[in-house]
Amino acid sequence: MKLSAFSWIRLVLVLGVSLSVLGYSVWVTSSARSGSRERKSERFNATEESMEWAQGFEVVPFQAIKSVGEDELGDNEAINSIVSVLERAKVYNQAGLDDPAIESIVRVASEFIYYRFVLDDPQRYIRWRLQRGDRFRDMETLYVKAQVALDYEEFFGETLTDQTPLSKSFTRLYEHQKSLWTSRYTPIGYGVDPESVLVVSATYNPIVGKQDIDLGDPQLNRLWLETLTGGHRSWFRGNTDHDQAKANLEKYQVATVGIVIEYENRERRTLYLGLLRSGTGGDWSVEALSATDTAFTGGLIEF
Amino acid sequence: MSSNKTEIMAGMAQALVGVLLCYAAVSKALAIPMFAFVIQSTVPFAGNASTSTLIVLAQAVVFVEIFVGSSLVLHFYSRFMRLAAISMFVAFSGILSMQLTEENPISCGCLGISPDGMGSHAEIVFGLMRNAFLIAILVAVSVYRKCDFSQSEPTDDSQQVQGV
Repeated sequence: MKLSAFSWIRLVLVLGVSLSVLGYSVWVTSSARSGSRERKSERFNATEESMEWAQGFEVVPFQAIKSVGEDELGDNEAINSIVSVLERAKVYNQAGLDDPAIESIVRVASEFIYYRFVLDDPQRYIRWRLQRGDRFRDMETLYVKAQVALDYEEFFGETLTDQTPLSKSFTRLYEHQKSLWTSRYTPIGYGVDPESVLVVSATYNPIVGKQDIDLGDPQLNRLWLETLTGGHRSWFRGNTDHDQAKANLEKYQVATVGIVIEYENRERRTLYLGLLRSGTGGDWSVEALSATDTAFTGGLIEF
Repeated sequence: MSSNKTEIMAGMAQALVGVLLCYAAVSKALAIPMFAFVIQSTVPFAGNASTSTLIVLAQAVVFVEIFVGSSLVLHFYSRFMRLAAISMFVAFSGILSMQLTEENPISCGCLGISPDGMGSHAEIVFGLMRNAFLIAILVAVSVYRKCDFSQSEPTDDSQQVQGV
């Protein structure tokens, strides 16, 4: 086959363009992979530093709060004792919320900590969520996207049907996951120093995404925000459907409450509650929960 | 319309399909890991392939797309490249059709991939219509050249460009 000079030029151009794009894709992929490894290693270091830093705080055992609640002061008194800790946190109010909105974040987060970790009773937890107007996510989201059906079958050897009440499957998985926690993942108390609590508000704009969180101090950013974290499974949603809000290009407000948790093995790691509400206000609901960790071997926190 | 004008239009149509293929290749090249995931999720028998294999496959698709696309733009071995492009569009359409049966289809990644990798049935139907349109253009160019101008379409590509 004999090519003319013009065809040779075109061949060189075609090959040049093709090999350049191929080379670029190889380079981007390999640098992204090595970059990801470096970032993960850096996050691992930050996690270890964060765990060491958390050892310096005063911790109140959940048991102590529980006994307050069970004795004479009741649930509200116990919740107020948590509120009194959380309200001393430094607030990074990036969304520009007013004081009642910040107080509301602290209140809802305190109630969540109380019902989910201090009382640790799935029936009371469900009742609290439903009483405050939250409701179970729809079955398809839970069963398929959140892999509840898969886990249920794996743990109990039974197929979840649409007839199984969500409260029943929640309770069963709640208890079973707890049995998998071991001492590494069994929370027993939380940090009560103001520095051991974090409250951040931000605005989520569906077009540009979430506002970047900056605590104004690189070291604080590292200890709070740059650790390795794993998410837990959310069964409830509040009045704001963030998927719908995203689809409608509506802004909504998000808040993160960070606390230091002490586990039964005496390790201390940060835990983050993700709250959200409509961009126009309303009630906050706890929609996300993530925990700093390096191993990710224990059972989930169903919430 | 004069034969010359028709020939220019045919050449431009082919080049536009080539540009689209180049764009598709570049958009995939920017997100190779995601495109590898698309291959794993959509291509039969790719489900169990290793990550490295999937990445090489993804890069191979990008290379073929850009090679065929730039060849169409530059009218380099046009007849063969049109055939290659049509074969690719037919193969892509086959994969898209299989995705139509999925309840929650993932993004086909044809012209870039959505950030979460999820697609929709509307996107698939649009992709099938787009592919049919592109195949029609290339077939029309081929038929035109075979029937009319390119009765003398040279096998030596160097002569062909003079008519474009």
